Amino acid sequence: MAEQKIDPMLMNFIQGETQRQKFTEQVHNLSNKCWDVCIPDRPPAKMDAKLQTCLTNCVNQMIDASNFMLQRLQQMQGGGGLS
Amino acid sequence: MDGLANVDVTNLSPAQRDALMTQVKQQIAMVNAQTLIAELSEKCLSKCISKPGTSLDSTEKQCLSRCMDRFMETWNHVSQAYQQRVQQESFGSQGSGNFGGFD
Repeated sequence: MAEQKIDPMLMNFIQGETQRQKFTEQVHNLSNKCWDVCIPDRPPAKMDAKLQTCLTNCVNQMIDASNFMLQRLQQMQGGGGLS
Repeated sequence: MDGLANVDVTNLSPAQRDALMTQVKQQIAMVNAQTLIAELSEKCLSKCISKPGTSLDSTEKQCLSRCMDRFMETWNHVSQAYQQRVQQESFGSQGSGNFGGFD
């Protein structure tokens, strides 16, 4: 097929960029959510340590929540909860 | 840079390949910048412009400036925090780690 003829360097590049873009999209997504969670109604004059902690916790919690739900879905599937 | 639209990707000269990669990188950067600006506008308009008057007053301008700065900082901070988390998940600590599609 055509795939096999694509320059390996180009293939590598595309795979790398695809991974990078997945990462960037998650950053867009997480920034949006964590902004709403952590930044008060009036944006403060400075980014203080409290805000940074909130943002870090928010990112980790979102990932924990996502992993938790994924595991739970896998369990449901294993236990015949989903068919 | 032009003339790449009709190129056969299975048969590129090294120069064509490099040009294609540069073009793709530029387009990705453009799309990401546009997304960032759209998100920033949406967030800062809703935070700072609640009762539109006849013109922007100084309070609104200050709010918008702060909001834009904080938004960029938030983006960078989230990027770092997420990067760290992705690294932690890929070395050891057997979390399923599928959040970002990195295994």
